[in-house]
Amino acid sequence: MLRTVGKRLGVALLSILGVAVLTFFITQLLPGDPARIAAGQYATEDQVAQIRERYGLDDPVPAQFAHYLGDLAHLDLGSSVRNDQPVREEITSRFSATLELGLTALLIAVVLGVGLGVAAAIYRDRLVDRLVQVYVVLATATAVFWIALVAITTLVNDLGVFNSPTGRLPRGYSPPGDITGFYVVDALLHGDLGTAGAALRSLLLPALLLGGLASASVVKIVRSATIKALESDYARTSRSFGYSRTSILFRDGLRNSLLPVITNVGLVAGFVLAGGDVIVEQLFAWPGIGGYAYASLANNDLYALRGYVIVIGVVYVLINTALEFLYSWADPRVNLAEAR
Amino acid sequence: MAIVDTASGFRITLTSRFRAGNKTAIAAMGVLVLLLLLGLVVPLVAGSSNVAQQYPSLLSPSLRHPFGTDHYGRDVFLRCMAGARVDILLGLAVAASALVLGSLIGSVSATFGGATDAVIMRLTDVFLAFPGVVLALVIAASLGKDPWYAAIAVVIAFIPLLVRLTRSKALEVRAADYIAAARLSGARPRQIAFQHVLPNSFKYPFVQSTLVASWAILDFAALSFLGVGVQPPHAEWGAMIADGVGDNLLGAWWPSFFPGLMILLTAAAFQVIGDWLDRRLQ
Amino acid sequence: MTTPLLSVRGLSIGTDAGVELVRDLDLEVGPGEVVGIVGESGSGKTMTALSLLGLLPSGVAVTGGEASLDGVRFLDGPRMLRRPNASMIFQNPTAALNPTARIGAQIDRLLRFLDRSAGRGSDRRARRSRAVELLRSVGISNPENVLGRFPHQLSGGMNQRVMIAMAISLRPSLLIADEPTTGLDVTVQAQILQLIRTTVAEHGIGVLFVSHDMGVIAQMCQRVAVMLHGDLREFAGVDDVFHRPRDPYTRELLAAAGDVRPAEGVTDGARAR
Repeated sequence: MLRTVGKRLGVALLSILGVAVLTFFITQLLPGDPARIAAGQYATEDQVAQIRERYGLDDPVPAQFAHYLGDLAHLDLGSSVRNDQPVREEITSRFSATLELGLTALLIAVVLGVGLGVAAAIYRDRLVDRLVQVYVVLATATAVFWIALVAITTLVNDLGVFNSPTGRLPRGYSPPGDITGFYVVDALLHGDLGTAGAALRSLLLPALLLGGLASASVVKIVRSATIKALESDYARTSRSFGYSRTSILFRDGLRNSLLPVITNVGLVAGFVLAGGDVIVEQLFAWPGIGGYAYASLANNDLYALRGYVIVIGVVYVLINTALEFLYSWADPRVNLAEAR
Repeated sequence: MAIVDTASGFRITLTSRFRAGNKTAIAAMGVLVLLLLLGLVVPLVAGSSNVAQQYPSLLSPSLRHPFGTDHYGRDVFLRCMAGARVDILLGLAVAASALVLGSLIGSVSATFGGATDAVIMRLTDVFLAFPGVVLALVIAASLGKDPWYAAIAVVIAFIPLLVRLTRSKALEVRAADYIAAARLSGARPRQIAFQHVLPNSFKYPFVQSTLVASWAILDFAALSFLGVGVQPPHAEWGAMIADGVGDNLLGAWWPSFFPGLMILLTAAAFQVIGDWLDRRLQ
Repeated sequence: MTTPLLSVRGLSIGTDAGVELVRDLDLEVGPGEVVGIVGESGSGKTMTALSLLGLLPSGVAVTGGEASLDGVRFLDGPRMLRRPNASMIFQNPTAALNPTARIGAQIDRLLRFLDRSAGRGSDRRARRSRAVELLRSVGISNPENVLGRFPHQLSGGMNQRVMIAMAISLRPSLLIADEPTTGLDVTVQAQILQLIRTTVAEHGIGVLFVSHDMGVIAQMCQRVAVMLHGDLREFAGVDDVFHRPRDPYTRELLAAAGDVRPAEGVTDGARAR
């Protein structure tokens, strides 16, 4: 067991190395000139040369690569072209904000996805199922930046149901003392119900948008897995014993249909922590790493963006490794040593 | 109506379920064809929609301007149609490129096996270590802000998925009974590869690529929204939404609302078709 | 047989799309008797077996007829009036057990369900020793070990033993066996058949035994029903079916099976007791 765990962690480390190499390749070696992109459209040749000099872009590629890996080994992500701040500090200081939003969205995606998926499977081919299927298609086909914009216009500006998109707290509130880094939790731990409520109301809309869209893939998987489990031979055995529908649904259906959800959570996490997150953080002024990536992009700050991509890649690898462990624990048929 | 006596009991597939799916899929195809035709014809008839100040700015939707006008005084409907050409063709092109390249690499991996297979698989592993949009984003940003670069970035982000799928299906097919039968009856390896393995392993990536078209439209629009895809003043749905963000604050919802609706309609149509093909295949 | 244990009259099964799978079937099983249903795949024999416990897959339903057990009607056309006191074992026993639960947990779930249905108290430790006892009774020599295993870690024969133990723990008056040895090794197959024979004899359980294998039918049954395309072609004592088949299809089946005939006269009862 210990050996398989070690082996698995080794693979994860290799993947992280792969992430670093691929990121270097993309940012340094693709035809685009990083210095020129960083300098912006209207930069003079002098300014470009200056950046080139400062980031060692005139060195031979192997030297650049060695330098880059050496820095990474010291967890140094370099510094931003825009404001010269170390990228690592910028990202770590924003990480808990993204984590709070991302985990809440993930929770919403899984709960909503499992609930709707199971409902659709139980009422297969009936009205409930049809409605859920429509929801899945619409949620999969909705652009997150558009629905966020529509939601802000209608739910916030017109109806005032949610807080204005002013980040983690409405104006006039100050952040609770830092314990977990999650505002809602921290405010509760400090007994500050007012701030906790305000933070929750700020968190809810962006988390609902991200989680709602991400839930579509969970619904799809849970629906088909639950149908498969309920039509399985072992569910038939349970029916032959006369077990109740509820017992069959939970012990035979849900238990076995949650397995594929574990594999899917990685993809969902990719969306709520990264893909969709960049846009939603920007539109909601959420002070997390997605907003940082957006600002870096807008300012042609390729080095800050590179740092962001490496962090996301590493987090993604770690999440997927953790999920593999979880999966092998949940499904007795999977042997981690054999599973790749 | 097919009744199959399988080892685990009986599975019954009812044709009526297919028929219901058929209608939706045909409707989805109709929507795509219509939008594409409008996208090709309307800009020809109405002239360039990129030119600013043809009309007063921010007119709300009316009979004359069904989607209203934007803050430069351009007709949003005309721009949406011009965008249809860009986005739908781009979705199809990205899906086709990713399909061709992905299934090619995937079959190479499955056919040669050994070191070739191992290298290709490790490479896809590394690409799949990033969420797709993030990968596309950093590739597009590193290549420079240009719609072609963004399109290439999206293609690259989807290739690993199709490589994986083609490879696993090819291996599955190769292990199937009828291939063994063909081999026993003396068919040559090349004959087996071209007559059996390729066609049978190709159909799954093909169906998947319909879904890729849907995701590609969303991802490409997202890149444009983030400023690394289509650049203003060119009409593209994602870029138009980015353009209309500020108008919302002035109470004008239409410049950003309708392009998003177009994305929804198109991406949903590809989804429906993909789901339908997927069900047909099983 | 004056008072049959199971009596099926005019049973018809069809799909929602209107395809008839079983037509107007009459069948009976006497107390302690083993009755076989034989036929090729698609003959409707498995559907007949599944219909008696209300286990038909979605899209398939009983369209007519009735069935009673111990003189009490439980099936009236499409309606299941009550649960018959019957249990079932299936083809592919490994798939018939929940892949993510240990054998011990699956037996425990059943025993707790039985205790609750009977309205009696249930104690974890007592259930555990009953589970051990049950596995012993089906010839499993290391029950403690088997209880801690998952189905995929056990052989098909072992899983079928577990299934038999669970089916018997319901104390049924009828056991429905749907191809219980198909796919098992020949030696294992013989052991399982022997186990079924001794177990039902010991408890006086009647058996409806579904199989496509004439040889197995010859070994196990006192009476045989021959089905083809949903119709009952012949229903007679095993001697008659094997030595004096009346239906041409039965003769075809026998010819295809080779010499599997039981020695005439030794079948009835002698084997089962």
